[in-house]
Amino acid sequence: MVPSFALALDADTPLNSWLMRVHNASKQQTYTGTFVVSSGSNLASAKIWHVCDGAQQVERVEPLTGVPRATYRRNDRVVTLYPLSKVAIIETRDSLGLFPGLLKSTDVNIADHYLFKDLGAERMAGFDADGVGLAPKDAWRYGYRVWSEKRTGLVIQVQTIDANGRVIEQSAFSELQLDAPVKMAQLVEQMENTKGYRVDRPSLRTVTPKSMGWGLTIPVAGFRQVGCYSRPSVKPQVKPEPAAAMMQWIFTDGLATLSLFVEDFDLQSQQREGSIDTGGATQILTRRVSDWWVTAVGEVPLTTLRAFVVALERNK
Amino acid sequence: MSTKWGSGGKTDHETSMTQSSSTANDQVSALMDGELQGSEREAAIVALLGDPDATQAWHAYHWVGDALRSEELAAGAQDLRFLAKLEMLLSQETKVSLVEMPDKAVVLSADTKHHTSANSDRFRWRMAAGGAMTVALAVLAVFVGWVDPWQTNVPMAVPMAAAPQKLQNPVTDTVAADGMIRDPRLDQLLSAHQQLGGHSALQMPSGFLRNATFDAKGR
Repeated sequence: MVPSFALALDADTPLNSWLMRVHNASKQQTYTGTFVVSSGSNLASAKIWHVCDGAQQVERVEPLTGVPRATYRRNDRVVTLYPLSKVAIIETRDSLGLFPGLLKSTDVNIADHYLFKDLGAERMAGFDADGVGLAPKDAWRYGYRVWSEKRTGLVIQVQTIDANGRVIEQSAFSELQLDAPVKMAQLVEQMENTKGYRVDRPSLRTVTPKSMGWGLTIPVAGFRQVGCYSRPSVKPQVKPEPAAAMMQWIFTDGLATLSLFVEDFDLQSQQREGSIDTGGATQILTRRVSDWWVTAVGEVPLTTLRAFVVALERNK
Repeated sequence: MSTKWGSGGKTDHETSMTQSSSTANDQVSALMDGELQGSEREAAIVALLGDPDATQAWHAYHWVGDALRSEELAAGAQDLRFLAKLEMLLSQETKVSLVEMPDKAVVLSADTKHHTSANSDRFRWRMAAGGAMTVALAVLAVFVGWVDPWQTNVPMAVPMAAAPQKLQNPVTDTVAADGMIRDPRLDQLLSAHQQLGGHSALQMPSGFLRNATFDAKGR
């Protein structure tokens, strides 16, 4: 249990130890609440239950908008249940919780690329929170304002800020209850009860970019690759053909992540090159690269996505 | 499950504007549908030209529709050509090695940023809320099923006065429950990206919750 203490956010506090604190709090605390994500005039919200008994963490997220569904997570096992269509998606997301390892790696130093500053204390969702600003040192990334609950370090609100100082996305608890009486056993029982559901286990294979025929010299400082997967193509299957594989290559600078999706270029699909604004912090860029179609997705400015797409090279 | 979050951000002024502009929308939509003939059509065009909100909506619809359908525009062709050249230039100029990393002081980055944001604003799917743009959105929401951005075989842009061709089967799930105009295929990629983004410090809980909240619609 983390003892309560005043978080000293002076110049001597390393960014990394602050990041580890907030990261651990999100795993180790037990809480319930309503979470709201907003960008522009878009709003989406969900109720969440999170419980940790020290050994394992279990979570349930039930969106209040869109198709009725609930996403359960038990450590790295994720089950999404769609009660109307009776479909259950079961996945292992082993990327969750990889952050500590990333902090220890030598080629990602978040402090090199973000300025850490104290924004002071604020009341939020009924709690005393400490605000921290993470200002990007260059135009390749967005900035963040993060408020974490004083006692536990649990993140209550995150704002993503663009180069013009505009908040392009905000994720926050509109209400929060710490140490809520959530029963872990109950959540586990719910997530494992897929009786009557059609179970779908999407296949994801870890591969090396080289084996997929690709290479890349990282064009933006501070980013490193953190995963490369082969997944079935998401192209609509008009003819009964086996789905071609698509490569997903993931990069991060410790705060922002981007994915390069590479698939065969299909003349029939008549896709259009360009950028797509999702309304939130996530940017999308599509481009044809000789016989392939690249879709770059990430919470970074378009310039950064462009740089990565251009840096992609087909092995000779 | 009934958070009316689409209208959550609207002010009273904006809401009333939308309501009073529904007649303008009807006229604009009838005109675009080619439902009006002869003097009715003329009257609608005159009314359209006299109503700044309706005109805005008309421009917005054709703007976006044309931009999506083709490179040759009646209006805005210059902008697209500029963007295309900029894209090419940027793609050449952003090819830098790790050692020569530009920082904020480099003019290219700053200019790029400004040019990109100034022009890409015009082609946003979701335009800024407020005023006439709210009307434009209302009109777009009605017609968005006509235009699938991933089908560039829709006929070339026609002169503004003519009606655009209606697609055979408007894709109703193109407008997702959260109001975003999305390609289901793109939704899956977004989902795939966000699911594996656990490497970032801010992924938990906000990233994971954000992604679960925005999870791809319907299976």
